[in-house]
Formats: sequence, C-alpha cells, structure tokens
Amino acid sequence: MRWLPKTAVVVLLLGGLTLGSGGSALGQTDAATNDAASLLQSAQQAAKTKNYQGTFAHQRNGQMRAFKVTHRFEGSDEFERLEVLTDQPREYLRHNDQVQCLVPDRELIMIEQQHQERFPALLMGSVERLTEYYELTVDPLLRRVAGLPCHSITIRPKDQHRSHYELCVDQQSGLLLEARMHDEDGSVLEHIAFTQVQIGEPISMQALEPAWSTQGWRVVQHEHTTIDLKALGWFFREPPGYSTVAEVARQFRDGRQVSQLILTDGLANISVFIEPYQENLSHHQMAGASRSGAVNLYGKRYGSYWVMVAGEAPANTVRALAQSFVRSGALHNR
Amino acid sequence: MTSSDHASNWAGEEDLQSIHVDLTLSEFVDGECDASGIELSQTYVRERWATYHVIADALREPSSLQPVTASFTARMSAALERELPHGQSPAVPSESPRVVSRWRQAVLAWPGLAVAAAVASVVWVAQPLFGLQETEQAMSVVQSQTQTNQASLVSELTPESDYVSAHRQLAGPIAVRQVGFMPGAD
Repeated sequence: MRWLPKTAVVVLLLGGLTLGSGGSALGQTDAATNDAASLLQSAQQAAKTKNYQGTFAHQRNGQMRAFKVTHRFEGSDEFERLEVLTDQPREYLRHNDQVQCLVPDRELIMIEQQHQERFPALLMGSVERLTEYYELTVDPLLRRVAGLPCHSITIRPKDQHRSHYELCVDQQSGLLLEARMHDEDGSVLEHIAFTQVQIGEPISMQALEPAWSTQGWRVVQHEHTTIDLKALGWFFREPPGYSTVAEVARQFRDGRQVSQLILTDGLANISVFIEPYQENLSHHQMAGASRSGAVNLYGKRYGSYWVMVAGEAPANTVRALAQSFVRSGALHNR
Repeated sequence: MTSSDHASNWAGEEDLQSIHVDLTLSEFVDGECDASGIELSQTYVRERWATYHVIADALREPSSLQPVTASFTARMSAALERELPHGQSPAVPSESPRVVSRWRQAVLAWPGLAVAAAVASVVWVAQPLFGLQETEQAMSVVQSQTQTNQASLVSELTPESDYVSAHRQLAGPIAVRQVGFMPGAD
C-alpha cells in the first residue's frame, strides 16, 4: 500500500499573498501588524509549498512528544510523511488532504480526510479576519529556533474570547518554527517547536516511503457525514469573531451517534457536541464547567438532548456558547 | 501454504468427510441439529467446533465478543480434552500419521483466518470508527484482554477525554496529529 492517487483539494483560504516581506517592524503599530499579517500568510504558504525535513516536539498537559516530518511539494501536490518518535511507532502519510495512518503493531492502515491544518501550518481562516480580533506584533529582535533566526510574532486577543499566542517564523523561508499558546494568566498551555529542520532541500520520494512494508495490511476508511444543525432546529449564538466551519455526524467509541459543530475565529477552535440525552451515561453527568489541559468544557442537558462544548477558548466563552444552545419551538422552555 | 497445496490436501475421501463435519457442526451451532454424530474425540472436529462457536457468538452478540487470540483454539481444545469421558484418548486414533499431519495442515490453513476475518468484521461493525486512537482503543479492547497492562489503561478512560479527543481530532489551535494510544493521552 502506497500513496493513493488523488486529485489535490487543498483549501487555501489565503488572499492577497505578500511573500517575502521581512520583519522591519520598527515603530509604527500598523506597520507591525501588516508585517505580522504577511509573515503569517507566508508561514501558511511555506508549510504547503516548501520542501522541508525536521523533527519537532509538542508539549501539552505535561507530556512531550516528538515527531519527524518530511514534506515535499511538487507541482500542486503536497506529500508528507510524519513519523511519531515517542511511544507507539506510527506514521502518517499525507497526499494533499488524504491521510493514511499506519499502525504497525496492528498491521492496519486507517485512511481519513484531513479536516484542518496541522503544524507547521497553523491558520484555519484568513489572516485579514484574524486581525479583527487579535493584535499582531512582530518583535524587532530576531529569535533563534532550531538554529535558525526567526521573526517572533505576538498574537494578543482584543477581547476576552480567545487566547494569547507566540509564534516564531523562519526569517529566510517563512516556515513556522515554533508556536506557544498561553492562558489568561500567561502560563504556557501548549508548546510546539522544531528542534532541527532543513528547509528548501530536494526531498526524494524514497524519503517519503514508510518504514514498514504494508503488504497485506488491513485498510479501514472512515468519514464524517456533513449535517446542518440549524436545519435540525438548533439555534445558538456564536461568540464574537467565531464562525461555523464544519458540522458533522460522527460516532463515539461506544457507537453512539453525536453531532459535532466546529467554530473558529481563525486561530482558536471550539467544538460543540449534541446527542440524545442518556440518563445512565457517564458522559452526560458532566453538567457545568470542567477543564482538561488547554481545553475548557461545559456540559448541559437540554430537554432530551445533551450539549457539550469543548475548546481552547476561555471558560466564560465556552460556557456562554453552551448556554445559548436551544432548539426552535422550545425557546420558551429555557 | 499455497492455495494449490490446500486444494490437494482437500481432495478425495477426506474432503467429503470434512465437508460433512463442517455441515454438521454448522447446523449444531445454529441449533438446527443435536450433537449426536459429532465426534469431538477428533482433533480436527474439536478445532472446527471451536471455530464455529466463535463465529456464531460473534454473529449473534457482537458486544459479548471475547478476545480471540492465536492460542484460542488450542485452549479450547485443551478444555474439551478435560471434558472427554474417562479412559478415552484425546488423540486421533484411526488415521495414519501422514493423514493426521495433512489434516492438521488443512485445519491450520484457513479456519484460523476464518476466525480472524469474522471477528474483524464484527468489530468494525460493532465499534464504529471514531478517531485514530479511538479506533485503536476499540481494537485493543477486543484483542488485548489477556494483556493486563492495556486492560488497566482502558479503565482510565474518562468521558471528558472522549470529548477532548474528539475535539482535537478535528480542531485545535496548535494541531498535531492525534497519536495517543488511548484517549486522553493525546
């Protein structure tokens, strides 16, 4: 089993690319914002269109994991091999938005569509929209990540509905080298950074071959069904700056059907899960606020339904979104 | 073992006998006949008996599916041997060593695969795919109950980690692929 042939469906939501504008953000705020915006755009573009190979570390919830990424861009096609270096060996082979997850200990290949950008790509939406809700600044001093000089970008929320990010973008190629997410108090919730990377060198197809012969492995494909919650009668108030990017029906491990709605402000994401309420299900005993690492959760029972909101947004934003969920025809029963 | 080896082993009188055994076992497991005429003293018949029971259980009640390991048939056979009447030898008495070895070859060639295939299809139907690690989780529940370390990890699952994993599989500000073997370990 090797790469599946598939036409490229790369959704680029970037407009007005201004590649290669350096970080001469000395003085004026507008200039700094523009520089930061163009750096973010070039970072998103570089993640797709550059060849690179390197290792990065991801830290979250007190755990660190290491990955090796090999990315090749040819014509309009992206090929990527992501090796998991920590714990169970896994490889993810990506051709544009088609991903194969190789599980050697099960001799299994799982195929899925990529639904969102993954490091070193970052944004789900446009940079223009991002600047409405975040203040972007570039530090005039270069930093160094993985041995490469990089532009340090600070992304501060303009309101209470999102978090604070720090990025570093390679001065030469524009590739994102490091990203940190902070909570309201400034402590780091999540941290991802290259420790070593080569950018712009030719990548052979051999370098993208998986480590294992996958002949005879089982292949499993799973997809999510698109749904329309508003057509199903649901009404909710999106937090300022957030808009719906996906509505899918999916199944949890125990087989129960759950609707998932995903909102984003271009950087932060919030998921809403809606399913029939089950009195004896432990998932439905989580009414109120809870937290898991960078993710805030808020659950509520709504009549015969259970609504759970989970996202890397402040707890108040998550709670307000959960509380806004109602079904039409039942507005007076809130 | 190739398919042509397989075919040659299944030729002749043995072939007819095995088909008869399979039909009888299948009917018995489905409750369509009684156990008379089933010679559980024969190794081959015992192994086939175990296989049919696993398949039947899986088809009837996927949620009650027990772990099926490579040693399942062997353990089942051992258990059956203990059930045999006193003084009766569990060995296959009536066939020459050459024939016995060919029987065993034929038995090991595909019933094992049949068990695996039946179980796998049931698992995929009964455990709809959720996320990457959730899929592996579903599989581990079925395949690893003899491994206590994994079984203990299963008990650490929380509803919260289900939602967080589901969220991060499709969305996350600093998104890496979900690599945890268990939800919550992503």
